[in-house]
Amino acid sequence: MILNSYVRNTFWFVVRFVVGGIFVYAGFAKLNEPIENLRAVLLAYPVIPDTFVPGTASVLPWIEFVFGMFLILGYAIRPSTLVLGALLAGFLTVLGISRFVYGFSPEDCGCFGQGGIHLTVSQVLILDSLCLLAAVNLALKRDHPWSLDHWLEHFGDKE
Amino acid sequence: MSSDEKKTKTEEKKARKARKQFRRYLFTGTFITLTLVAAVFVWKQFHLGERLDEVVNRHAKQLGPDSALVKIVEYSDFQCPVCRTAQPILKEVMQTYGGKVQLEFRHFPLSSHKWAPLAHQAAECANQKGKFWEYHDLLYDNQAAWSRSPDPSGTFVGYAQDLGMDTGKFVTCLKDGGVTSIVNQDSNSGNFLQVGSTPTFLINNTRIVGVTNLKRSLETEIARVLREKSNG
Repeated sequence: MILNSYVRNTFWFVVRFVVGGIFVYAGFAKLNEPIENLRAVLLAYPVIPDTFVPGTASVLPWIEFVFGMFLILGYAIRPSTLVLGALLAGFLTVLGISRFVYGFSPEDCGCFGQGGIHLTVSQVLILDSLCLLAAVNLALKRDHPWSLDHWLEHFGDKE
Repeated sequence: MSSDEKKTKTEEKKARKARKQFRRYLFTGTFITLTLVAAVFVWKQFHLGERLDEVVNRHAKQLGPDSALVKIVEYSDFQCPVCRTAQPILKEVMQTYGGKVQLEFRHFPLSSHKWAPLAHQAAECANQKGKFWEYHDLLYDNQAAWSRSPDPSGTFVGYAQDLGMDTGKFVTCLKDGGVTSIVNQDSNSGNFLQVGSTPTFLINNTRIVGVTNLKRSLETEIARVLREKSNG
C-alpha cells in the first residue's frame, strides 16, 4: 500500500515535471529570441488573424514559462493546469485547422523557438494531445503530495 | 461556553487559517513570478546578441552608396520561396529612396533547403568577379527551376556563362569550396544576431522578419531613420 502510493506520487510528480518542463522550455526559448521571430511564425499560420499577432507574441511565451514553472514547483496546480490546458486546446485548434483545412504543414511549427527542438505540425499535434490529457488528469487529482501546494496547505498544521 | 459560542470560535479559527493560507499563497506566487521575470531579464541582458554594430562583415555585398543614411541588412536564402517574393519589394524600395538607402546581402542558407549551400557558394563565386547582384537576380528569378533539379551545378555554371564569366574559373571556385567560409561567416553572423528564419531584415537595431507588410514596415523604418538623422 505504502509502496503503491509512493509509485503513484512519483508517477504524477514526473508527469507534472515533464508537462511543466515542456512549457518552460517552449516559453524560455521564445523569450530568449527577438519577438519579431515569433511574430513571423504566428503570421505564417493562416488561422491566426494578423491583429492578434503582436499581442499573442508578447504574452504567450510568458504564460508558457511562468505557468510551466508553477507546474514544476507544484504551485497552484489546478489553476496552472487549467491555463495550460486552455492553451493546449487553443494550440490543437490552430494547428489542426491549419493542417487539415488549409494544408499548412511547415517543417518546423515554431513552437520551441527557432533553435533547438524542431517539430512538424503533425508531431506537435500528438505531443499537445498527450500534454492535454496529462493536464486534465493533473487538474482532476485532489492532492499532490510533492508540491508547494501541499506544503502551503499544511504549513503550521502542528500549531 | 455554549455550543453556539464554541461553533462560532471554531469557524473564526477556520476563517483565520484560510486568510493566512491565502496570504501565504499570494506571497509565494508573487515571489516566484517576480523571480522568474527578473531571471529572464537578467539572462536576456547577457545573451541577446541584438546589436548589429558588433558584427563586422568583411565580404559585404552591397547595393547603393556607402554614404546612404539608411542601411538595410538582409539575411536571405536563395532557395527560400518567401525570400524570392521579397525581391520585387526591395527593388521598389531601393528605387523609391534612391541614394538614401544601402542594401547589404548576407548569406543565410537554411538546412532544410538541399541546394541552398551550393547556390550561395555559386553567388559568392560570382561576387569574386563583381557579378553578385546579377547572379543573385538570376538565382531568384529561376528559383523554381533549379530548386527541383536533381543536381543544379550545371545550371549554376550556365548562369555564370550567361553573365560572361569564365566558366572554368567558376567551376574551380565552386568545387574548391573556398568561398564556403565566407558563406559560413555570413551565416554565423546571422546566428549571432538570432536570425531564425528568412528573410530577416535589420535596419540599425530594428528587425523585420518575413514579407507580411514588408513594404510598409521598410518604408516606416526608413522614414524614421531619415527623420532621426535630419533632426541631428
